[in-house]
Amino acid sequence: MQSFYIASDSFLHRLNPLSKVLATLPALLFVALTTEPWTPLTFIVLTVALILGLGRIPVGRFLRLAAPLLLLVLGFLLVYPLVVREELVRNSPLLFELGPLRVYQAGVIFGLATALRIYALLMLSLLFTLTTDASDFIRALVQQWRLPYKIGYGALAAFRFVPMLQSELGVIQAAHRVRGIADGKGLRGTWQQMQRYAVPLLATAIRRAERTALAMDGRAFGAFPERTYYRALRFHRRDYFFIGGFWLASALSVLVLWQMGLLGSLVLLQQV
Amino acid sequence: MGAPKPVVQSRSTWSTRDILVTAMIALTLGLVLAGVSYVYTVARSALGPAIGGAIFGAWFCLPGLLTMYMLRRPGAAFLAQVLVAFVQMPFDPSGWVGAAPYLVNGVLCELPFLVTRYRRYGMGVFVCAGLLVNMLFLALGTLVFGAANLNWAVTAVAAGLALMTGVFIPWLARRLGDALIQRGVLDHVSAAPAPPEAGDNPRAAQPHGKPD
Repeated sequence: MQSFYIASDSFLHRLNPLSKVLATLPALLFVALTTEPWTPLTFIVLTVALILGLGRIPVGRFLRLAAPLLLLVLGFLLVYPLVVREELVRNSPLLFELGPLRVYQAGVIFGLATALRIYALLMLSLLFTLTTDASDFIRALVQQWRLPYKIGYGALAAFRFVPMLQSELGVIQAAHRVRGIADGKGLRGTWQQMQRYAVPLLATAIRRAERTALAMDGRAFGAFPERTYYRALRFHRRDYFFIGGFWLASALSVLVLWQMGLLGSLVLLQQV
Repeated sequence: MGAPKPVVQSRSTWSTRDILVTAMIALTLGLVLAGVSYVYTVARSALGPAIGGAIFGAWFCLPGLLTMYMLRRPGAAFLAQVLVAFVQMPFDPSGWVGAAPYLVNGVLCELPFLVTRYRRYGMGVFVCAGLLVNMLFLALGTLVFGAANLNWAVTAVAAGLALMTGVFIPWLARRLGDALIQRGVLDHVSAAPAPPEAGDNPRAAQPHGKPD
């Protein structure tokens, strides 16, 4: 399985992972509540510029990740105009008719706004995912936000077992093939396959966890309330600069959209 | 300066073994769920978020329910969901945003057990947890994905599917749990229930609480 993280030494990569969470959180909450296409579009442009500029993610690799996501959200644009509630399109001009299906302008705008909103949320998330090593995020949670280190390091230990689980799955599949068990096709086949693989895989994982826990306890893991860290993460000036800058850019974008009358009503205040 | 005092383990403290067992359940199912979340994203785009959420919502609480069934202790479902959130993060384009619903799911999974003061582990309590999680996905579909503006037939289908998967996933979690307990994988884990005898009522495997 491929991680989305792309290793680099850019400004975004050097930031504390928590500063990226704090910076994008207000924008995520706000975009999730918008109903017009312009606000998400603005945030898509802003975030993509940051990912490519400050994150120095190669354009080709970014497009290979972002394009399939765009295809997924386009589904909203195709489906929503057809299943939208009647009240929403009552006074809207009819665009075209396909047998019993009627597509209204308001329905298309609603589909477009939803698709762009989901894409904007994905882009805001990608700013974090592409530039943050998940292990660093857990370390930051333990060091800065006081996540109990036994839980944090439990998760870090689990990360190490991803390749083991993949090879274990290969061994189980090979063992089943040797015994002449064929992989079934269709939904029923997938279900039977899942049943055959789930129990041995979970059983192996749990037994491995017990042995690892013994090894960790043997090295006094969790024996003391305080611990030292080989890799210390802290908030630097650049983190405060990024959080402040992102909040300012977001607020200015919203202000400009509001002044131009393109903001629309938020989902909680919407009268439908 | 004296040497630091070691932590004295109380009964409510999670041992390294319990945390690691939970982490491995979370990892194994988390990797499966990373695949499920792709299918969910496609279904959400093709069928709309309300139906997509209703079909796949309860899938995301499978690790929490399985861990709660196997370990039977306060916080087991929440901790499993926290760990799933961590382990699926690198493989999900939504990153920490995708992790947030797991935490909310964890709280919702924990609620029915908390109400019964962690004394009941029957199917009814598990189904309550599954349905609560699906209600959250429906609410999310309504708020974030604009499902409130879809026609009532779509919403009704979504609610029906939410009901079905809300029952199916808890049942699956318990079946998986029974299969693992019967194979003796939890014999050394502190709070593990006794294995059910072959042909026995699975409810016999509940020494800590009354069945529903």
